[in-house]
Amino acid sequence: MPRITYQQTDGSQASFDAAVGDSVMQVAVHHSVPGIVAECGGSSACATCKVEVDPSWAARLPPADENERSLIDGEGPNVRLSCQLKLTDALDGLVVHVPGSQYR
Amino acid sequence: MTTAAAATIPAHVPRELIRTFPFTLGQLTSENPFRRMVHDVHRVDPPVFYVPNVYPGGGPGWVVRRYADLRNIYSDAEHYSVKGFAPFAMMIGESWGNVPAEADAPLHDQYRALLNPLFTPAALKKLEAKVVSIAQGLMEKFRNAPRVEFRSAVAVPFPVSIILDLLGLPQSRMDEFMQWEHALLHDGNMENLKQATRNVTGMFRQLMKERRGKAGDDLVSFALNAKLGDRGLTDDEIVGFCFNLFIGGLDTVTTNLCWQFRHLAENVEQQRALRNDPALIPDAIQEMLRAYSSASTFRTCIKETEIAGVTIKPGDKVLMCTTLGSNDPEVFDHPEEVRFSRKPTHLAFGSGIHHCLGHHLARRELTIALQTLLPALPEFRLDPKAEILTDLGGVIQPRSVPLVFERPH
Repeated sequence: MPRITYQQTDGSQASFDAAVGDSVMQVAVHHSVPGIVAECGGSSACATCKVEVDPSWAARLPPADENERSLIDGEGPNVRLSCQLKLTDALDGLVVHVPGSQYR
Repeated sequence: MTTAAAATIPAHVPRELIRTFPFTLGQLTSENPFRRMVHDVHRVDPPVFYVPNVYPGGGPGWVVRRYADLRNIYSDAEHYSVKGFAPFAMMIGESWGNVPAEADAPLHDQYRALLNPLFTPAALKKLEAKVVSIAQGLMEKFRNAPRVEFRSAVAVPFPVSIILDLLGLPQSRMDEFMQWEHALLHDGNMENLKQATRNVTGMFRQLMKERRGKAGDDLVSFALNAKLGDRGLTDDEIVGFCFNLFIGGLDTVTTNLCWQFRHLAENVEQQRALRNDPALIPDAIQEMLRAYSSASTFRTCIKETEIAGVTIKPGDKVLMCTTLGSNDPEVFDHPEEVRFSRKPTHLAFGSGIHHCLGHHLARRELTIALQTLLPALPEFRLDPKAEILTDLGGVIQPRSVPLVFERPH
Protein backbone atom coordinates (compact mmCIF):
# COMPACT_ATOMS: atom_id res chain seq x y z
CA MET A 1 0.00 0.00 0.00
CA PRO A 2 1.70 3.25 -1.07
CA ARG A 3 2.09 5.79 1.71
CA ILE A 4 1.79 9.49 0.91
CA THR A 5 2.70 12.54 3.00
CA TYR A 6 1.13 15.99 2.67
CA GLN A 7 3.17 18.92 4.00
CA GLN A 8 1.50 22.24 4.77
CA THR A 9 3.02 25.74 4.57
CA ASP A 10 2.88 26.00 8.36
CA GLY A 11 5.22 23.02 8.69
CA SER A 12 2.57 20.51 9.78
CA GLN A 13 2.19 17.26 7.89
CA ALA A 14 0.00 14.20 7.67
CA SER A 15 0.63 10.76 6.15
CA PHE A 16 -1.83 8.17 4.88
CA ASP A 17 -1.82 4.69 3.38
CA ALA A 18 -3.58 4.61 0.03
CA ALA A 19 -4.74 2.02 -2.48
CA VAL A 20 -2.95 1.60 -5.79
CA GLY A 21 -4.89 3.65 -8.35
CA ASP A 22 -6.11 6.29 -5.90
CA SER A 23 -5.13 9.79 -6.95
CA VAL A 24 -3.18 12.07 -4.61
CA MET A 25 -6.27 14.31 -4.68
CA GLN A 26 -8.71 11.55 -3.75
CA VAL A 27 -6.63 10.52 -0.74
CA ALA A 28 -6.44 14.15 0.40
CA VAL A 29 -10.17 14.77 0.03
CA HIS A 30 -11.01 11.47 1.73
CA HIS A 31 -8.89 12.46 4.73
CA SER A 32 -9.95 16.14 4.71
CA VAL A 33 -6.40 17.37 4.14
CA PRO A 34 -6.70 21.17 4.16
CA GLY A 35 -5.79 23.18 1.06
CA ILE A 36 -6.79 20.71 -1.67
CA VAL A 37 -10.15 21.90 -2.93
CA ALA A 38 -10.71 19.76 -6.07
CA GLU A 39 -13.75 21.73 -7.08
CA CYS A 40 -14.27 19.96 -10.40
CA GLY A 41 -14.16 16.54 -8.74
CA GLY A 42 -10.96 15.36 -10.44
CA SER A 43 -11.83 16.23 -14.06
CA SER A 44 -8.64 18.20 -14.79
CA ALA A 45 -10.63 21.41 -15.24
CA CYS A 46 -10.33 23.70 -12.22
CA ALA A 47 -6.67 23.68 -11.07
CA THR A 48 -7.70 23.82 -7.39
CA CYS A 49 -5.95 20.60 -6.39
CA LYS A 50 -2.40 21.78 -7.14
CA VAL A 51 0.53 20.38 -5.15
CA GLU A 52 4.23 20.95 -5.37
CA VAL A 53 5.98 17.64 -5.66
CA ASP A 54 9.14 17.20 -3.63
CA PRO A 55 12.02 17.48 -6.16
CA SER A 56 13.33 14.04 -5.24
CA TRP A 57 10.05 12.59 -6.55
CA ALA A 58 9.24 14.87 -9.49
CA ALA A 59 11.21 12.89 -12.09
CA ARG A 60 9.62 9.59 -11.01
CA LEU A 61 6.07 10.73 -11.83
CA PRO A 62 4.49 10.15 -15.23
CA PRO A 63 4.66 13.41 -17.22
CA ALA A 64 1.67 15.76 -17.41
CA ASP A 65 -0.62 15.39 -20.45
CA GLU A 66 -1.60 18.31 -22.69
CA ASN A 67 -4.65 19.24 -20.63
CA GLU A 68 -2.80 19.22 -17.31
CA ARG A 69 0.04 21.23 -18.83
CA SER A 70 -2.49 23.86 -20.00
CA LEU A 71 -3.69 24.28 -16.41
CA ILE A 72 -0.31 24.42 -14.66
CA ASP A 73 1.04 26.80 -17.31
CA GLY A 74 3.03 29.51 -15.54
CA GLU A 75 3.28 27.65 -12.24
CA GLY A 76 6.62 26.66 -10.65
CA PRO A 77 8.66 23.71 -11.95
CA ASN A 78 7.35 20.90 -9.74
CA VAL A 79 3.68 21.88 -9.57
CA ARG A 80 1.21 19.17 -10.60
CA LEU A 81 -2.54 18.63 -10.45
CA SER A 82 -2.97 16.08 -7.68
CA CYS A 83 -6.06 14.61 -9.38
CA GLN A 84 -3.78 13.44 -12.21
CA LEU A 85 -1.23 11.71 -9.97
CA LYS A 86 -2.28 8.08 -9.57
CA LEU A 87 -0.52 6.23 -6.80
CA THR A 88 1.43 3.04 -7.47
CA ASP A 89 3.66 0.90 -5.24
CA ALA A 90 6.67 2.61 -6.88
CA LEU A 91 5.43 5.89 -5.36
CA ASP A 92 5.38 4.57 -1.79
CA GLY A 93 6.75 7.37 0.41
CA LEU A 94 5.75 10.21 -1.96
CA VAL A 95 5.89 13.67 -0.38
CA VAL A 96 3.85 16.60 -1.72
CA HIS A 97 3.62 20.21 -0.53
CA VAL A 98 0.18 21.79 -0.34
CA PRO A 99 0.18 25.49 -1.40
CA GLY A 100 -1.11 28.24 0.88
CA SER A 101 -3.83 29.05 -1.67
CA GLN A 102 -5.17 27.39 -4.80
CA TYR A 103 -6.16 30.75 -6.28
CA ARG A 104 -2.93 32.76 -6.53
CA MET B 1 -51.06 23.66 -14.80
CA THR B 2 -52.43 24.43 -18.26
CA THR B 3 -53.57 21.85 -20.77
CA ALA B 4 -50.68 22.85 -23.03
CA ALA B 5 -48.17 22.16 -20.25
CA ALA B 6 -49.82 18.84 -19.41
CA ALA B 7 -49.61 17.83 -23.06
CA THR B 8 -45.81 18.28 -23.12
CA ILE B 9 -45.14 16.00 -20.14
CA PRO B 10 -43.85 12.60 -21.31
CA ALA B 11 -45.47 9.36 -20.17
CA HIS B 12 -42.43 8.15 -18.20
CA VAL B 13 -42.72 11.04 -15.71
CA PRO B 14 -44.47 9.85 -12.53
CA ARG B 15 -47.31 12.30 -11.92
CA GLU B 16 -46.47 12.63 -8.22
CA LEU B 17 -43.05 14.10 -9.18
CA ILE B 18 -44.56 17.07 -11.03
CA ARG B 19 -44.00 20.16 -8.92
CA THR B 20 -44.04 23.93 -9.08
CA PHE B 21 -40.68 25.62 -8.69
CA PRO B 22 -39.86 29.26 -8.04
CA PHE B 23 -36.52 29.50 -9.87
CA THR B 24 -37.65 29.86 -13.48
CA LEU B 25 -37.19 32.63 -16.03
CA GLY B 26 -39.70 35.42 -15.55
CA GLN B 27 -40.44 34.83 -11.86
CA LEU B 28 -39.68 37.55 -9.32
CA THR B 29 -39.70 37.97 -5.57
CA SER B 30 -39.40 40.90 -3.18
CA GLU B 31 -38.01 38.55 -0.53
CA ASN B 32 -34.37 37.59 -0.32
CA PRO B 33 -34.76 34.10 -1.84
CA PHE B 34 -31.76 32.77 0.08
CA ARG B 35 -33.48 33.36 3.44
CA ARG B 36 -36.20 30.77 2.97
CA MET B 37 -37.19 29.93 -0.62
CA VAL B 38 -34.00 28.04 -1.53
CA HIS B 39 -33.98 26.01 1.68
CA ASP B 40 -37.71 25.22 1.47
CA VAL B 41 -37.09 23.24 -1.73
CA HIS B 42 -34.81 20.87 0.19
CA ARG B 43 -37.43 20.60 2.93
CA VAL B 44 -40.46 19.80 0.77
CA ASP B 45 -39.36 18.40 -2.60
CA PRO B 46 -38.00 14.91 -3.45
CA PRO B 47 -34.38 14.57 -4.71
CA VAL B 48 -35.48 14.74 -8.36
CA PHE B 49 -38.71 16.35 -9.54
CA TYR B 50 -40.30 17.54 -12.76
CA VAL B 51 -41.24 21.14 -13.52
CA PRO B 52 -43.40 21.88 -16.60
CA ASN B 53 -41.94 25.33 -17.35
CA VAL B 54 -38.37 25.13 -16.05
CA TYR B 55 -36.58 25.29 -19.41
CA PRO B 56 -36.16 28.79 -20.93
CA GLY B 57 -38.89 29.21 -23.51
CA GLY B 58 -41.37 27.34 -21.29
CA GLY B 59 -40.43 23.70 -21.81
CA PRO B 60 -40.40 21.03 -19.09
CA GLY B 61 -37.49 19.41 -17.33
CA TRP B 62 -36.11 17.71 -14.26
CA VAL B 63 -34.73 19.59 -11.29
CA VAL B 64 -31.94 17.87 -9.34
CA ARG B 65 -31.40 19.34 -5.88
CA ARG B 66 -28.78 17.19 -4.15
CA TYR B 67 -25.07 17.95 -4.29
CA ALA B 68 -24.04 14.30 -4.76
CA ASP B 69 -26.50 13.69 -7.62
CA LEU B 70 -25.39 16.88 -9.39
CA ARG B 71 -21.71 15.89 -9.03
CA ASN B 72 -22.52 12.55 -10.70
CA ILE B 73 -24.33 14.17 -13.62
CA TYR B 74 -21.56 16.72 -14.14
CA SER B 75 -19.09 13.85 -14.61
CA ASP B 76 -21.36 11.62 -16.72
CA ALA B 77 -20.64 12.23 -20.41
CA GLU B 78 -22.11 8.85 -21.34
CA HIS B 79 -25.68 9.84 -20.40
CA TYR B 80 -25.70 13.65 -20.65
CA SER B 81 -24.72 16.26 -23.23
CA VAL B 82 -24.32 20.03 -23.06
CA LYS B 83 -25.19 20.62 -26.71
CA GLY B 84 -27.79 23.31 -27.31
CA PHE B 85 -28.41 24.43 -23.73
CA ALA B 86 -27.94 28.13 -24.56
CA PRO B 87 -29.43 28.32 -28.09
CA PHE B 88 -28.76 31.98 -28.94
CA ALA B 89 -27.46 31.07 -32.43
CA MET B 90 -30.53 29.02 -33.25
CA MET B 91 -32.78 31.97 -32.38
CA ILE B 92 -31.18 34.11 -35.09
CA GLY B 93 -30.96 31.34 -37.66
CA GLU B 94 -27.24 30.65 -37.19
CA SER B 95 -25.54 27.41 -36.23
CA TRP B 96 -22.52 28.15 -34.01
CA GLY B 97 -22.44 26.82 -30.47
CA ASN B 98 -20.94 28.41 -27.38
CA VAL B 99 -17.28 27.41 -27.16
CA PRO B 100 -16.49 25.52 -24.97
CA ALA B 101 -19.74 25.45 -22.91
CA GLU B 102 -21.83 23.68 -25.56
CA ALA B 103 -19.17 21.25 -26.79
CA ASP B 104 -18.93 17.63 -25.71
CA ALA B 105 -15.72 15.61 -25.46
CA PRO B 106 -13.44 15.02 -27.34
CA LEU B 107 -13.64 18.40 -29.11
CA HIS B 108 -14.40 20.08 -25.77
CA ASP B 109 -11.13 18.87 -24.29
CA GLN B 110 -9.17 20.27 -27.23
CA TYR B 111 -10.82 23.65 -26.71
CA ARG B 112 -9.99 23.66 -23.00
CA ALA B 113 -6.36 22.68 -23.59
CA LEU B 114 -6.17 25.71 -25.90
CA LEU B 115 -8.00 28.17 -23.64
CA ASN B 116 -6.95 27.12 -20.10
CA PRO B 117 -3.59 28.96 -20.21
CA LEU B 118 -5.41 32.30 -20.71
CA PHE B 119 -7.19 31.99 -17.38
CA THR B 120 -4.65 30.49 -14.98
CA PRO B 121 -3.75 32.49 -11.84
CA ALA B 122 -0.30 33.06 -13.38
CA ALA B 123 -1.75 34.49 -16.61
CA LEU B 124 -4.16 36.73 -14.71
CA LYS B 125 -1.35 38.39 -12.71
CA LYS B 126 -0.71 40.74 -15.61
CA LEU B 127 -4.31 42.00 -15.39
CA GLU B 128 -4.12 42.67 -11.69
CA ALA B 129 -3.13 46.36 -11.72
CA LYS B 130 -5.74 47.17 -14.34
CA VAL B 131 -8.54 45.41 -12.44
CA VAL B 132 -7.62 47.31 -9.27
CA SER B 133 -7.64 50.62 -11.13
CA ILE B 134 -11.05 49.85 -12.67
CA ALA B 135 -12.46 49.17 -9.18
CA GLN B 136 -10.95 52.41 -7.86
CA GLY B 137 -12.29 54.42 -10.79
CA LEU B 138 -15.84 53.15 -10.28
CA MET B 139 -15.67 53.88 -6.58
CA GLU B 140 -14.55 57.49 -7.05
CA LYS B 141 -17.93 58.38 -8.47
CA PHE B 142 -19.77 57.74 -5.18
CA ARG B 143 -16.97 57.97 -2.67
CA ASN B 144 -18.45 60.96 -0.85
CA ALA B 145 -22.10 60.26 -1.53
CA PRO B 146 -24.52 59.34 1.27
CA ARG B 147 -25.89 56.40 -0.70
CA VAL B 148 -25.26 54.34 -3.83
CA GLU B 149 -27.19 51.89 -5.97
CA PHE B 150 -24.38 49.34 -6.00
CA ARG B 151 -25.60 47.15 -8.89
CA SER B 152 -25.56 49.95 -11.47
CA ALA B 153 -22.58 51.76 -9.95
CA VAL B 154 -20.21 48.79 -9.60
CA ALA B 155 -21.64 45.29 -10.07
CA VAL B 156 -22.58 45.76 -13.73
CA PRO B 157 -19.77 48.01 -15.03
CA PHE B 158 -16.89 46.27 -13.22
CA PRO B 159 -16.88 42.98 -15.17
CA VAL B 160 -17.89 44.80 -18.38
CA SER B 161 -14.78 46.99 -18.12
CA ILE B 162 -12.60 43.94 -17.67
CA ILE B 163 -14.10 42.09 -20.62
CA LEU B 164 -13.70 45.21 -22.80
CA ASP B 165 -10.04 45.18 -21.84
CA LEU B 166 -9.61 41.47 -22.57
CA LEU B 167 -11.24 41.96 -25.98
CA GLY B 168 -9.01 44.95 -26.72
CA LEU B 169 -11.95 47.36 -26.93
CA PRO B 170 -12.04 50.92 -25.60
CA GLN B 171 -13.85 51.68 -22.32
CA SER B 172 -15.95 54.19 -24.28
CA ARG B 173 -18.02 51.20 -25.53
CA MET B 174 -19.18 50.50 -21.96
CA ASP B 175 -22.77 51.82 -22.32
CA GLU B 176 -23.31 49.96 -25.58
CA PHE B 177 -22.04 46.71 -24.02
CA MET B 178 -24.20 47.13 -20.94
CA GLN B 179 -27.29 47.68 -23.11
CA TRP B 180 -26.56 44.56 -25.15
CA GLU B 181 -25.88 42.55 -21.99
CA HIS B 182 -29.20 43.69 -20.53
CA ALA B 183 -31.13 42.77 -23.69
CA LEU B 184 -29.38 39.41 -23.96
CA LEU B 185 -29.80 38.30 -20.37
CA HIS B 186 -32.39 40.44 -18.55
CA ASP B 187 -35.02 41.38 -21.08
CA GLY B 188 -38.07 39.17 -21.37
CA ASN B 189 -38.72 40.44 -24.90
CA MET B 190 -37.64 37.84 -27.48
CA GLU B 191 -37.21 40.39 -30.27
CA ASN B 192 -34.86 42.48 -28.12
CA LEU B 193 -32.91 39.34 -27.26
CA LYS B 194 -32.57 38.37 -30.92
CA GLN B 195 -31.49 41.87 -31.92
CA ALA B 196 -28.90 41.94 -29.13
CA THR B 197 -27.61 38.54 -30.29
CA ARG B 198 -27.22 39.94 -33.82
CA ASN B 199 -25.52 43.07 -32.47
CA VAL B 200 -23.06 41.14 -30.31
CA THR B 201 -22.17 38.57 -32.97
CA GLY B 202 -21.98 41.37 -35.56
CA MET B 203 -19.49 43.19 -33.35
CA PHE B 204 -17.35 40.09 -32.97
CA ARG B 205 -17.35 39.42 -36.72
CA GLN B 206 -16.27 43.03 -37.31
CA LEU B 207 -13.39 42.64 -34.84
CA MET B 208 -12.35 39.39 -36.51
CA LYS B 209 -12.27 41.14 -39.91
CA GLU B 210 -10.17 44.04 -38.55
CA ARG B 211 -7.66 41.87 -36.70
CA ARG B 212 -7.20 38.92 -39.06
CA GLY B 213 -3.59 38.42 -40.11
CA LYS B 214 -2.24 40.69 -37.38
CA ALA B 215 -0.59 39.94 -34.06
CA GLY B 216 -2.45 41.18 -31.00
CA ASP B 217 -2.62 40.42 -27.29
CA ASP B 218 -6.43 40.57 -27.07
CA LEU B 219 -8.62 37.47 -26.92
CA VAL B 220 -10.02 37.88 -30.44
CA SER B 221 -6.51 38.00 -31.91
CA PHE B 222 -5.60 34.98 -29.78
CA ALA B 223 -8.52 33.04 -31.24
CA LEU B 224 -7.73 34.16 -34.83
CA ASN B 225 -4.12 32.94 -34.50
CA ALA B 226 -4.77 29.82 -32.41
CA LYS B 227 -4.11 26.29 -33.58
CA LEU B 228 -6.34 23.37 -32.65
CA GLY B 229 -4.12 20.44 -33.57
CA ASP B 230 -3.13 21.23 -37.15
CA ARG B 231 -5.97 23.60 -38.00
CA GLY B 232 -7.02 27.10 -37.00
CA LEU B 233 -10.38 27.78 -35.34
CA THR B 234 -13.31 28.25 -37.74
CA ASP B 235 -15.09 31.62 -37.79
CA ASP B 236 -18.08 30.00 -36.07
CA GLU B 237 -15.82 28.66 -33.32
CA ILE B 238 -14.32 32.12 -32.78
CA VAL B 239 -17.77 33.71 -32.61
CA GLY B 240 -18.84 30.93 -30.22
CA PHE B 241 -15.84 31.54 -27.96
CA CYS B 242 -16.36 35.31 -27.85
CA PHE B 243 -20.06 34.89 -27.19
CA ASN B 244 -19.35 32.36 -24.42
CA LEU B 245 -17.07 34.95 -22.77
CA PHE B 246 -19.80 37.55 -23.08
CA ILE B 247 -22.55 35.46 -21.50
CA GLY B 248 -20.28 33.62 -19.07
CA GLY B 249 -18.15 36.44 -17.75
CA LEU B 250 -20.46 39.37 -17.21
CA ASP B 251 -23.76 38.61 -15.55
CA THR B 252 -22.32 35.90 -13.34
CA VAL B 253 -19.76 38.24 -11.79
CA THR B 254 -22.38 40.99 -11.46
CA THR B 255 -24.65 38.58 -9.63
CA ASN B 256 -22.03 37.49 -7.14
CA LEU B 257 -20.94 41.08 -6.47
CA CYS B 258 -24.59 41.98 -5.81
CA TRP B 259 -25.13 39.11 -3.37
CA GLN B 260 -21.85 39.65 -1.55
CA PHE B 261 -22.34 43.35 -0.98
CA ARG B 262 -26.00 42.81 -0.12
CA HIS B 263 -24.94 40.15 2.39
CA LEU B 264 -22.37 42.41 4.03
CA ALA B 265 -24.91 45.26 4.12
CA GLU B 266 -27.44 42.98 5.85
CA ASN B 267 -24.83 41.43 8.19
CA VAL B 268 -22.83 44.33 9.51
CA GLU B 269 -20.87 42.28 12.07
CA GLN B 270 -19.44 40.19 9.21
CA GLN B 271 -18.70 43.38 7.25
CA ARG B 272 -16.78 44.63 10.29
CA ALA B 273 -14.92 41.33 10.60
CA LEU B 274 -13.62 41.71 7.03
CA ARG B 275 -12.64 45.33 7.59
CA ASN B 276 -10.75 44.36 10.74
CA ASP B 277 -8.98 41.42 9.11
CA PRO B 278 -8.81 41.57 5.29
CA ALA B 279 -6.96 38.23 5.30
CA LEU B 280 -10.42 36.68 5.84
CA ILE B 281 -11.63 37.92 2.46
CA PRO B 282 -10.72 34.87 0.31
CA ASP B 283 -12.48 32.44 2.67
CA ALA B 284 -15.45 34.82 2.96
CA ILE B 285 -15.75 34.90 -0.83
CA GLN B 286 -15.57 31.11 -1.03
CA GLU B 287 -18.41 30.75 1.50
CA MET B 288 -20.53 33.47 -0.14
CA LEU B 289 -20.02 31.81 -3.53
CA ARG B 290 -21.46 28.71 -1.94
CA ALA B 291 -24.38 30.27 -0.13
CA TYR B 292 -25.36 32.51 -3.04
CA SER B 293 -24.69 30.12 -5.96
CA SER B 294 -26.89 31.70 -8.62
CA ALA B 295 -25.95 30.42 -12.06
CA SER B 296 -27.33 27.12 -13.33
CA THR B 297 -27.03 25.36 -16.68
CA PHE B 298 -28.86 22.47 -18.30
CA ARG B 299 -27.92 19.03 -19.54
CA THR B 300 -29.84 16.95 -22.07
CA CYS B 301 -30.11 13.22 -21.47
CA ILE B 302 -28.67 11.27 -24.41
CA LYS B 303 -28.98 7.71 -23.06
CA GLU B 304 -31.57 6.32 -20.66
CA THR B 305 -30.42 6.40 -17.07
CA GLU B 306 -31.71 7.03 -13.55
CA ILE B 307 -31.06 9.51 -10.76
CA ALA B 308 -32.11 8.52 -7.23
CA GLY B 309 -34.37 5.84 -8.67
CA VAL B 310 -36.08 8.16 -11.18
CA THR B 311 -35.91 7.17 -14.87
CA ILE B 312 -34.46 9.85 -17.16
CA LYS B 313 -34.95 9.31 -20.89
CA PRO B 314 -33.11 10.70 -23.93
CA GLY B 315 -34.31 14.20 -24.75
CA ASP B 316 -35.17 15.02 -21.13
CA LYS B 317 -33.72 18.35 -19.94
CA VAL B 318 -32.09 18.43 -16.52
CA LEU B 319 -31.58 21.67 -14.57
CA MET B 320 -28.16 21.60 -12.91
CA CYS B 321 -29.37 23.71 -9.99
CA THR B 322 -26.15 24.93 -8.36
CA THR B 323 -28.24 27.10 -6.02
CA LEU B 324 -29.78 24.02 -4.47
CA GLY B 325 -26.68 21.80 -4.66
CA SER B 326 -24.52 24.36 -2.85
CA ASN B 327 -27.18 24.62 -0.14
CA ASP B 328 -27.79 20.88 0.32
CA PRO B 329 -28.39 20.21 4.04
CA GLU B 330 -27.13 16.62 3.54
CA VAL B 331 -23.69 18.08 2.82
CA PHE B 332 -23.54 21.49 4.54
CA ASP B 333 -24.44 21.92 8.20
CA HIS B 334 -27.07 24.69 8.40
CA PRO B 335 -26.55 25.76 4.78
CA GLU B 336 -28.60 28.94 5.34
CA GLU B 337 -25.84 30.24 7.64
CA VAL B 338 -22.96 32.07 6.00
CA ARG B 339 -19.90 31.04 8.01
CA PHE B 340 -16.63 32.54 6.81
CA SER B 341 -14.67 29.71 8.44
CA ARG B 342 -16.59 26.97 6.60
CA LYS B 343 -14.17 26.68 3.61
CA PRO B 344 -16.68 24.69 1.55
CA THR B 345 -16.28 22.85 -1.71
CA HIS B 346 -19.35 24.13 -3.54
CA LEU B 347 -21.00 24.05 -6.97
CA ALA B 348 -21.03 27.78 -7.77
CA PHE B 349 -18.75 27.16 -10.75
CA GLY B 350 -20.15 23.73 -11.56
CA SER B 351 -18.10 20.55 -11.57
CA GLY B 352 -16.67 18.06 -14.04
CA ILE B 353 -15.00 18.96 -17.34
CA HIS B 354 -17.14 22.08 -17.89
CA HIS B 355 -16.18 23.62 -14.53
CA CYS B 356 -16.09 27.34 -15.20
CA LEU B 357 -13.10 28.24 -17.37
CA GLY B 358 -13.08 31.77 -15.96
CA HIS B 359 -13.37 30.94 -12.27
CA HIS B 360 -9.89 32.20 -11.32
CA LEU B 361 -10.66 35.50 -13.06
CA ALA B 362 -14.03 35.70 -11.31
CA ARG B 363 -12.35 35.11 -7.97
CA ARG B 364 -9.76 37.84 -8.63
CA GLU B 365 -12.54 40.26 -9.55
CA LEU B 366 -14.53 39.47 -6.42
CA THR B 367 -11.44 39.62 -4.20
CA ILE B 368 -10.23 42.92 -5.66
CA ALA B 369 -13.72 44.42 -5.32
CA LEU B 370 -13.79 43.68 -1.58
CA GLN B 371 -10.14 44.53 -0.96
CA THR B 372 -10.49 47.88 -2.74
CA LEU B 373 -13.94 49.01 -1.63
CA LEU B 374 -14.08 47.96 2.01
CA PRO B 375 -11.16 50.02 3.28
CA ALA B 376 -12.13 53.06 1.19
CA LEU B 377 -15.84 53.25 2.01
CA PRO B 378 -17.59 53.80 5.33
CA GLU B 379 -19.73 51.11 6.86
CA PHE B 380 -22.80 50.48 4.73
CA ARG B 381 -26.24 48.98 5.24
CA LEU B 382 -29.15 48.28 2.93
CA ASP B 383 -31.52 51.21 2.51
CA PRO B 384 -34.29 50.21 4.95
CA LYS B 385 -36.92 51.95 2.79
CA ALA B 386 -36.05 50.11 -0.42
CA GLU B 387 -37.99 47.18 -1.83
CA ILE B 388 -35.54 44.97 -3.70
CA LEU B 389 -36.92 42.82 -6.49
CA THR B 390 -34.94 39.71 -7.36
CA ASP B 391 -35.17 37.86 -10.67
CA LEU B 392 -35.42 34.16 -9.94
CA GLY B 393 -34.64 32.71 -13.34
CA GLY B 394 -31.76 32.69 -15.68
CA VAL B 395 -29.28 33.90 -13.13
CA ILE B 396 -30.79 34.67 -9.69
CA GLN B 397 -30.04 38.36 -9.33
CA PRO B 398 -31.38 41.35 -7.39
CA ARG B 399 -32.42 44.24 -9.63
CA SER B 400 -30.83 46.76 -7.27
CA VAL B 401 -28.60 46.84 -4.19
CA PRO B 402 -29.30 50.22 -2.56
CA LEU B 403 -26.64 50.96 0.05
CA VAL B 404 -26.58 53.78 2.58
CA PHE B 405 -23.34 54.86 4.21
CA GLU B 406 -22.73 55.65 7.86
CA ARG B 407 -21.01 58.98 7.57
CA PRO B 408 -20.12 61.28 10.47
CA HIS B 409 -22.31 64.39 10.55
